[in-house]
Amino acid sequence: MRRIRILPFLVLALGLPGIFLGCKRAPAPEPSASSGSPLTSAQTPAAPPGTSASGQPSPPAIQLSPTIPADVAFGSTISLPALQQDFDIFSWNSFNAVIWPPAPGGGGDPGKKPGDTPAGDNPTVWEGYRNVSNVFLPNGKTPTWDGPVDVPPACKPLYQPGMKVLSQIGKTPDLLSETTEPFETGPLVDQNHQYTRFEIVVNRGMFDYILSNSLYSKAGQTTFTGPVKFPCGGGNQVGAIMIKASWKVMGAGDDASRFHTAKALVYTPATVNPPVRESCNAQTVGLVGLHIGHKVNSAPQWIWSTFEQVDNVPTQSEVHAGMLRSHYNYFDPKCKDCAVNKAPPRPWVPNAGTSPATQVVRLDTLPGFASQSAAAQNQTGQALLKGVNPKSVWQYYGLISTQWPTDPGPGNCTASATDPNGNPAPQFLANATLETYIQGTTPNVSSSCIECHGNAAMTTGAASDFTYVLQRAH
Amino acid sequence: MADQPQYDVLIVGAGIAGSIIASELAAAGKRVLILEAGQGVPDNRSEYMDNFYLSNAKTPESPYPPLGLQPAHEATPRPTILGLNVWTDPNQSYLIQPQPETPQPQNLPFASTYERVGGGTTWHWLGTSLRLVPHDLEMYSYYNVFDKAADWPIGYDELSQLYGRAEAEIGVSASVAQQAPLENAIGLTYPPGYQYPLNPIPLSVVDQTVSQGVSGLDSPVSDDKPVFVTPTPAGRNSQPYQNRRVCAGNTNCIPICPIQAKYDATVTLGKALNTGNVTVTYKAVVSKVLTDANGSISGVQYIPWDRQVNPTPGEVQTATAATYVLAAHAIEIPKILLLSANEQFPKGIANRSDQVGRNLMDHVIYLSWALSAAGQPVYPYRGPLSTSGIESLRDGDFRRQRAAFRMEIGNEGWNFPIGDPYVTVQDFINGTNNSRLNPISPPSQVPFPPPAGPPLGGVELALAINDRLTRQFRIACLLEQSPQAGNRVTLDPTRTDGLGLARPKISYGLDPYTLDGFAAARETSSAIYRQMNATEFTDYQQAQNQAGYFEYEGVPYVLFGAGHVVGTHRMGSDPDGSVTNAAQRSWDHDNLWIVGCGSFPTVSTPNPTLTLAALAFKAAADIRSALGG
Amino acid sequence: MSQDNSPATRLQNFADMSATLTGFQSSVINPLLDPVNLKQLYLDTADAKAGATLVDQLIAQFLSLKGQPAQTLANTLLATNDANPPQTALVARSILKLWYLGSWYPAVPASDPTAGQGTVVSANAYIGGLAWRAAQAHPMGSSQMTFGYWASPPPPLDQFGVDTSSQGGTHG
Repeated sequence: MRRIRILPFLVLALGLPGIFLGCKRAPAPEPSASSGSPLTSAQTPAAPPGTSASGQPSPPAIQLSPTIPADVAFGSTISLPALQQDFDIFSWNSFNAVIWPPAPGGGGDPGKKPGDTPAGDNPTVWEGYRNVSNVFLPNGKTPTWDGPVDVPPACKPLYQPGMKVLSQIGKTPDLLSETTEPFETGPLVDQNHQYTRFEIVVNRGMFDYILSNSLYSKAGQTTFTGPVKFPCGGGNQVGAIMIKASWKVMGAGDDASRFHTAKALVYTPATVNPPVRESCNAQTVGLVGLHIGHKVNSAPQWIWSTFEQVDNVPTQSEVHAGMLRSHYNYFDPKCKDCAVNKAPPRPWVPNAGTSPATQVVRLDTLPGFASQSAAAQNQTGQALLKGVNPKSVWQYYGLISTQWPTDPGPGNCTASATDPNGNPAPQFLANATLETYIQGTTPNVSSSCIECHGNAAMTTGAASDFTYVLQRAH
Repeated sequence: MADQPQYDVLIVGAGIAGSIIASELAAAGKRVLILEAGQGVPDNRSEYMDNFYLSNAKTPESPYPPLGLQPAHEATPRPTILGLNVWTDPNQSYLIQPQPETPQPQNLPFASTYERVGGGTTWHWLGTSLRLVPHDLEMYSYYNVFDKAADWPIGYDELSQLYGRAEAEIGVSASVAQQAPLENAIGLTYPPGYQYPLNPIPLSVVDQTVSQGVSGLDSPVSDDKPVFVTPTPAGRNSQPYQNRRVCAGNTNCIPICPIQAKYDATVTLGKALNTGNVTVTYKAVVSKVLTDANGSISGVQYIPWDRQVNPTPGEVQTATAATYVLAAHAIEIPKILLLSANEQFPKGIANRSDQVGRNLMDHVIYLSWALSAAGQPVYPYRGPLSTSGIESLRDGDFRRQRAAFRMEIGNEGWNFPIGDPYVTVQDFINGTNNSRLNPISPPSQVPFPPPAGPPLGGVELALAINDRLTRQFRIACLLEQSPQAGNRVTLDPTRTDGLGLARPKISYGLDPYTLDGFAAARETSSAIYRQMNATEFTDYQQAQNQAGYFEYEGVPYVLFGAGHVVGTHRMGSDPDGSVTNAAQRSWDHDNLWIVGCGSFPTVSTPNPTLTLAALAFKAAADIRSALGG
Repeated sequence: MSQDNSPATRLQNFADMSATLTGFQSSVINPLLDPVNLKQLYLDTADAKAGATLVDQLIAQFLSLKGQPAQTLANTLLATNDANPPQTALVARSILKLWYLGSWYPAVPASDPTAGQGTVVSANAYIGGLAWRAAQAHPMGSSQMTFGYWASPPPPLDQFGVDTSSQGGTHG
């Protein structure tokens, strides 16, 4: 865990504020990754770190802007708490930008604001990103950014353009499934006995990298010679972004005015084992968790921002103190003997509707500097969103924390050869809806975005630059 | 007992054999009950990994419960490496082993260990997935050694097919093309067109160095057979498989893979449970197998327990099914069979042949270690624990005289031989020389005790440690031990576990066939180091107090266990000389199958898990046909 | 000698001394951003096991010798030439083992039967052991590398943080 660091002292000595981590890269835009894909020029221009929209240096702050920050804007203080705050502000600004109402040509519509509708909800920029099921196609077919959506035959009668399809996998062995959490740790079942569904999307820059390097197929991955190196955000370019969302089927006890909702076709493919019958149902689903992973110059390990709907679960200390609310999405306050953070017994049948609800508690694993920063930024961020519209559903989402590398590497958006994970802070970070069963503080086991994603590989076994999506290729 | 059993199959043990059989039968619609003595499969491996991190001695058992050494007070005690160190003390050692008066080849400790938890010992297996070679199945008829019962009752063609299924289940990473040189050397063949499910695992720098270093070497003791290095087929992911990650080279297959890149039986157990046809009851220690008037198995009794240390034994329960499978490990199975003796079967269940508990075998290990030439580091402590071996000496005419062996090349420096990096680092800080590396003092050149260099600190310390640790490597020879009726598991009724059950009592020793194998392993290992210009440091001169120390023809050795416990309920073609038939079905009880590596008539040289998995598929098919459908 | 013994200064001095003892760069022992913070754990451990008085004596000795070549300073603190090292040197050796192995070994002469009885301080301490870095490797059970890395030699030793440049030089 010990890291080599020389350059930070240089930065201190030279008194360069605000770009402490950035000092390891050349100030000019990255020649390699970002510009490697000409199609990325279609990206929304992003503000350079440490500057406001007008180009003037300003202390980093949460703002309502459709512009995705291309990298972190650093304040002048270099300490874990101060930098955590900078990263958390980056997370909130990223969140605000990806939940922005989309413009017809992509990107956020500068004339609109999130939640500025009678219902307080809106379609979002990130939902226009490409779902990985439309990137890694059967037979390794070449994907398109804006071609038709892959709709399973069983869903076709119900499908209307614009509908979300929570389909995914299941039929192909050896792929991460969308109905259990990573590595088959188990499904997450809500209070209405419905399985939580997952969705992974990639932005244009990530898509274009996959496309131009033919990494969308097993054949392409086999002939690929280089190390996988997704584009890094910086300057005016956002980097590769992937978003993993968790959705619950809206039902009894759920207050839809507190969720971002979508009409979705919830598809469950047939499998022999577990014995599952194919089904497709049109449902209203509510967003309960959102991971944003963004590869930027300050973090070749990517920056991992994780948000949750505020009614998901109580914390460990709230449970101990008996400070419980009457309703949670994944916790029954009346159940005193429910085993906590325990996966339901197998067989895991997503559409059975009979699985016992998962009793989830958020373990208090964050160090003080991280939990304090998240609380502070949430107050600001949620107030901003509420300021747009008192009925905004977005005010009911909060940042859990941001995981970032304290020692990102020698520069040029490259990780250190000896410490490629970059000594992440906080050491552990889990989203209660996405890493329910691996919360904890055991190194190499408990949820750490960077540590786990550092193990990610393509179908060939070769490392895939902190993303598991490439192993979905056929 | 109910007239209509609720279950088609009752399986004792949730390890790899039990899980495969459960998975196969449940997929065929059979209703399965598994009774597992140990605790359940945890939702994640944090408890086990925390135990590992915080263990002062990172032994194979260190992650798993029970953590103490008080077998009389634990619900599921088992043999451990720490217990082996005190093997003559039944208060600390689970196995009761009679104490010899002097170190000698007879009455050695049985040195292998296993786990009693859901998922079984695959939690700490290495992943090595080697196939037997044809001559391994016919040691008596081909080499005319041992006795007739040493011939396996199964043909190689059938076994080959079963291997394919086991390799798919485990997810074995290997390449048929890379194994091809072994056809000439030891007769290893694959069915035409066969390919392993996953790409091979690359050779480590250590492997590459040994491979180049032994170039041109013919074995001095194995009929001049060529010595060459082969990548080891392993149940570790070289590609994403079964929703598990690829191997990150944590160098920790034993005691525990932190990221489950290595297959373990919880994968298959999960598959079995996914069918909806399997019930598993944990913390259920089987105490007795019951028979009816016809001699069929009519039920098993088990004791539920609450806590591991000082358990309160629950009321004895009885469970029934149409068929029964004992898959509880090669020492626990004879324990259960012998505990179950009744008026009708006074020698114990399935024991008409009197072979239950006999022929206890292990891959006894001859361990040697060396330092690569100065300035030519091999960079150990990186990669999976072992990624290659010398398999070319596993078969040959020499097997008429002495035990064959395979040579496993380690990627963990001198961690196994001396407990490094701890010993060498302390030597340099203390100014001692237990490692013989401060200064470099090969035992062949510097008599005991070697002089010690001064304590070091600062950069001098870092550089000295760097030089020594980056040059360490070791070779473990896994010897085929001969089957001996006197090497056996019985019961010690006076020494019980925390539930009051008699603990296994072991009689154990080595015969000249095996001991001559030790001598050949020693000579071959030394020849390899010489050929490579490496400096050998193997030294058992001062090991008199170490468990497993013995002398043979004036040479001191220490025997290590491989954890490959074999032979205690061997299968065969003769009901008078074996416990089960080739399908691992008891000769004596028509609805009882006894599975696992205890079924092997001989231990041969490959690590046994792949073969036991292959045989489990055969047993499952047999049970299915016995049940009809 | 008088010594600013505020917790922050004491920790800083302990970290500086640890860099000298271990031969690793300060950025490894005491990174500017240190989410794991082993130095604090190790100072607390040394205080608890050896007593803060002895630890303070050792730090005072380190401060009094600051400016000497790092290797000389390390040798003096560890009493590498002394057949009967003083208690502070035994504490220094225990602190050194702590950094290299993540375990606390009693501060007793090597001939003492308890000398080799180490206790793992924490999971992070085990993982942070410098011995693995000195071997250009990683702790067994905690690799940050990716599949197949073992087929190639590791990066050079200085990249793992051994302060090879400071041989014969001074420590801040």
